[in-house]
Amino acid sequence: MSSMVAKLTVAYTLIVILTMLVMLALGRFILEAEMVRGVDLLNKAEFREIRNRMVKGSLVLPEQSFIGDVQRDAVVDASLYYLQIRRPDGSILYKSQDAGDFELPPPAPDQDNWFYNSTTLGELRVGKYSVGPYEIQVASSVENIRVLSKRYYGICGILLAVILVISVPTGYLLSRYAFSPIRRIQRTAARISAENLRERIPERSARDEVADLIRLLNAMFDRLEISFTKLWQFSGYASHELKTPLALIKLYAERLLLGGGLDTKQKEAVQQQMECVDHLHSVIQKLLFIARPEAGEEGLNLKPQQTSDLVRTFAEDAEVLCEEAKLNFEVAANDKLTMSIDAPLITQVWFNLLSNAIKASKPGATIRFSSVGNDRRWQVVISDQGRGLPGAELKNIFQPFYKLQGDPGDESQGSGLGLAICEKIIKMHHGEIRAVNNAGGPGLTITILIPLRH
Amino acid sequence: MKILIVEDDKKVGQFLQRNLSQAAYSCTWVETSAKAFDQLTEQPYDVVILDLTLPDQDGLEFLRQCREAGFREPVLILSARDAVQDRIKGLNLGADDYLPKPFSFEELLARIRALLRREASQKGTVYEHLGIRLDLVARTVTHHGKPVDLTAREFALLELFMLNHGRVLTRNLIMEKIWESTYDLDPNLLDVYMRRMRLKFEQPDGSPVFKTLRGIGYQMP
Repeated sequence: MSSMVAKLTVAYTLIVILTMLVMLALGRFILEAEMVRGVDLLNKAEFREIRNRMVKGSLVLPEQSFIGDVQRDAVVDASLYYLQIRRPDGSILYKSQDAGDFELPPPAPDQDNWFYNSTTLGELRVGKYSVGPYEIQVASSVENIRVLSKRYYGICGILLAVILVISVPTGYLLSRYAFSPIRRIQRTAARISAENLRERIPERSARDEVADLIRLLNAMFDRLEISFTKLWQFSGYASHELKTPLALIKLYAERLLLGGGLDTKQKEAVQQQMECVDHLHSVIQKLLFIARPEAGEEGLNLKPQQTSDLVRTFAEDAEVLCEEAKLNFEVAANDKLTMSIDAPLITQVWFNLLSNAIKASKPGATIRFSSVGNDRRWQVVISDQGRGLPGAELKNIFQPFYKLQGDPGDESQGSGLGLAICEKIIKMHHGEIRAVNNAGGPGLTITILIPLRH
Repeated sequence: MKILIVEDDKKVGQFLQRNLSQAAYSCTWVETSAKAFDQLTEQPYDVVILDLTLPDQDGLEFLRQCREAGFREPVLILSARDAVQDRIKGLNLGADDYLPKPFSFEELLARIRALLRREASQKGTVYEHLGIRLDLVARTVTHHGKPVDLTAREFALLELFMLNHGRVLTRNLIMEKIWESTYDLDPNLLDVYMRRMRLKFEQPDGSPVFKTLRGIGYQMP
């Protein structure tokens, strides 16, 4: 979300700056054109003044009678204009005195006004006029316009900097404002979990894009709630329909067994039946646990638990089981944590991993268990010295119904659900579980990490 | 001793009524929460066995109404729903015990007996049986006069058997009482412990101290 705000801020600033640049460039073009037009008008005005000296009524005076007046006029305005008069044969009748040797070249026939760069007078704007047979050129310096343009660029630079400084925070505030309904949606959506699927994002009266999005999301939550409810109903229904007949089988078998009167073969058959019922029950339990729709804490019975106590009681049982299998059990624990966990479920995970480790170990091997904690997380590691697993299978072992390839399998009554349940339990605690082959020798190491929450 | 059975499944209901009657309890079986409420209003019961899946009302909701109405009968929930939350909700709403389906009838009997004598029973401090002497206060055990060294788990196991000798203890019940677990921990765990216990309490005449009832559990004769 914050990166979206940042992107929008940058985009906003860029748009503002680019718009300003275009406007200022356009402004400069218009301004310069206007100023040049002003110079052309002034040149024309000067020309009119000169013409009035050269003409009487509609007649052009002879050279001798107007040259004096023209010269006087030209001298008065010499600081502003350069004047040049050609005779029809191309020779120069008059040119402003203070320009020294400078002389404007004859103009191209189709030009009325143009720029001319002279070494002595600088850049000039020249206008071409005619009085009778005489061709008159009036020129003014445009150096002032060039200076003004430079200043204009300076001012534009300052203006752009100011706009940049203003548009960044403005853009940021605008984007935050635009995203505020999205943030509200985010907060509500984060609260919605299996436990409070009924909650909805408050709808807005306005009919805009955000309101449409909210309605869309709420409709999606409706569907989600329905599917969750259906899953729950299925889970409850399956549980009831499977376990009630199972209960009856068990009850009658038990009556038979305890009632006496069975011969050895019959007794054996009923005992088998009882064991099968227990196994079936255990598989149903596991399946229903895997199928449970809730994936977070809501399925847990969280209580504060000293991890060292949990480790001690587990280690006591683990030693007994390892001793029975002629294995060594080593426990290393330095943790003094109080965790909010579902202790029976965590213990169930450990027993499951221990049972796998025992199955994988040969007599005389060692199974190591360690529990280490710091202020961020609790790490439990169980490692064995068994045959380990092919690298490609390591990532699959937590999949439901996963059975090791080439595993004799049927000798242990594994349902292929044990590790999937372990992973689900750890994930419900917001933790992670992973398996790696031992680095220094054969065997498998399973690591469980559970974060501490404050 | 009067027991009210609230169970919608006819076969389970019939089984419970017949077998609990044989065990010398006087039983009434109803299939709906409405009928159960009527029964409780008419006469006091010693124990109520309550299934959570009822046709007219959720069992937990019925339990809440009963407690609000002032019925104080001990309630044992019998349910196919044994999600942790249901169990905890049930116990929070004032149920006294929770037995998940499928259950063993012996275990049900043991739990009913426990509920019935709950107020009356006063735990002793020293128990003696089959030459074993268990002192709960000093936390010592002797076998035919010789002291026996037991771990905490073994001590708890022995205490459970000594207090219930002669009765069948199902695996489920033992796991719940000793390991405080309603889950399958390790199918071998209990058997391994029982083997060790047998070695520690071998009788001079070779008779078993702990009898294995295959498919059911264990029993101290």
